[in-house]
Amino acid sequence: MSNEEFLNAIHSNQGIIHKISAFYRDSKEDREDLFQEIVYQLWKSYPKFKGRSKFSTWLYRIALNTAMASFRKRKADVRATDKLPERYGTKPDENPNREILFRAIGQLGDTEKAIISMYLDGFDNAEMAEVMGISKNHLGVRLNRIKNKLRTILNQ
Amino acid sequence: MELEELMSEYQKDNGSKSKSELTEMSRADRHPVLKRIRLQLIIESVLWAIVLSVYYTGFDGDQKSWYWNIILVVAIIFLLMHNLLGYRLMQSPINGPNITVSLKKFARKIRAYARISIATRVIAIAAMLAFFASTVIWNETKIIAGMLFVAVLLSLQIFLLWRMWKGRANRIQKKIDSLVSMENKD
Repeated sequence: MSNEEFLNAIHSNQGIIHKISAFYRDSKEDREDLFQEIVYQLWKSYPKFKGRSKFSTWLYRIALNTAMASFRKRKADVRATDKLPERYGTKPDENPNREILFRAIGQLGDTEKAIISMYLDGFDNAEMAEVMGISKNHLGVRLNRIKNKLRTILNQ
Repeated sequence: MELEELMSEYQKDNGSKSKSELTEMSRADRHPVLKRIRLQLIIESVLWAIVLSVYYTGFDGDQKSWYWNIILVVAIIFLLMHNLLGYRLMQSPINGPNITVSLKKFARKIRAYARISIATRVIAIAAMLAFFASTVIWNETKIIAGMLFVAVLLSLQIFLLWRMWKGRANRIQKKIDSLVSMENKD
């Protein structure tokens, strides 16, 4: 894959980075920082990408790894306000269902967020198991639990 | 609201960064964490370089034995090396073919760095204190006061560094435990 092709692949898959940044960081500034960290790590890891897995699977692995391993710079900026914050980079009234889903995912644990975000992006169990480094069977069991937990949060 | 119904909504997020912005982000000088560590490294290096350039006459380095001067220089090199190692650690959080392996390796690196961090700080502080105390004419009161001062200073430094690194290592370990428990519980 040439540099140009690699850049195009990141560009067309940047929604994944955007979502991961939103799930793993609270403030807008922290999300922007994480986005940059992920893109930096993608470029750094790019020589090791051999194309054995799908680009999006590889990107998910690097992005989730960066999000889960890096340290937050500062605490979340918590302020009382009469409006809902632009928590996930979209205005809440622009797409209420999406905002509700993102908020619900935000309440999950770090590994749960990783699995459910891949699932919602259409990954199969084998791909998710490969990224996480666990067996396919166990991932399946875990995914069902996370889905149930998410449904409970959504229906509250 | 069913999850499957929300999948298409979820997949709509395409992001809004241009290709030139994404290329810019590949540069280490744009990396938010590395930028801060690098700035800290530059400031500390400049300050220590100033200290080294004036200590020989300013802090009576010329009147002390050669080994005290060596000890002071080594202490400062230790502090700078410590910062460089921290930079290297944060530069490479990805160390394996999947998230579980990578986090395990990263946790090991953090623990090793924590030990190096505490040891270099303690050695550097002890060496500097020894350098400045080497011309003091000691009596019993000064020895007790000096020992107390050193004990408090070093204990505080060890405690603060230990707490910070323990917190970081624990946060990574919690994620590993959560992944490993998937394999063990089910």
